[in-house]
Amino acid sequence: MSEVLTKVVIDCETGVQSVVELTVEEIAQREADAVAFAEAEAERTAAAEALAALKESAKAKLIAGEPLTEEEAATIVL
Amino acid sequence: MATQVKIASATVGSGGAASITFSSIPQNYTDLRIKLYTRSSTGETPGVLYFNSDTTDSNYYVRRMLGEGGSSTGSTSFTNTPYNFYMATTSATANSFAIADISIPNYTSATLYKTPLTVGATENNGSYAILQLITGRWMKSPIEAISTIQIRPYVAGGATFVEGCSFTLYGISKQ
Repeated sequence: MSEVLTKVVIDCETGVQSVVELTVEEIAQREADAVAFAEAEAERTAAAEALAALKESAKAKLIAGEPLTEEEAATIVL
Repeated sequence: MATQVKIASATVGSGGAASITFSSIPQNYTDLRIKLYTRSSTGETPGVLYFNSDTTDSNYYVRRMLGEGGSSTGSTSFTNTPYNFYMATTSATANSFAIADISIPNYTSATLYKTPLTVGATENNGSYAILQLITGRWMKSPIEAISTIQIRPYVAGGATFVEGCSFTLYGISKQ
């Protein structure tokens, strides 16, 4: 038997609290959210890794006395 | 002096809940405040606030700052994703919950975008804790007063709120 997903709805005007099964549309929205989340996290992770790599490169070049690229220089907070 | 009044609250029962919705929010306050104690049914943590049944992600924007141990993640902008809070996960000590305090100023305004501000902490009652400072913006056009707030996990793997999660909505009047 598949899991039945429910939501809690609180009517602030009456104080009535209801537990309601999700609609087909709401279930579809959850699934769409899952896809969007995975894509957003992949982008965020890639950006964070790229930034970390630039910082490491900038640090190594500073120590070695080598010129930095503009991208590497931009990672330095002054 | 501002006064704070509890409008409504809910605690998740056995079986968990996919979302919590506060509907028919009274329009006679200046600001809203929501206090959340949350734990996810999975290992993923982001949670979202949707206003007035608007689930169009491109209408939302957040910028967050996270602090963990001696380091911090600088302000990260997320467009099109309303991550307004983070939950405790299944790896946290049993019966421990993340906390979040979300303020929504000028929620009845028909001219100002709504900007939820979250101060929170996620910890596992053990080896780690993460501080969160998140500011968001709801940019639906035309601008609307908030009458409904839906709160839910925004994650993969079918996450839900587990039993014991609690949500309290307050109205704040400025005098």
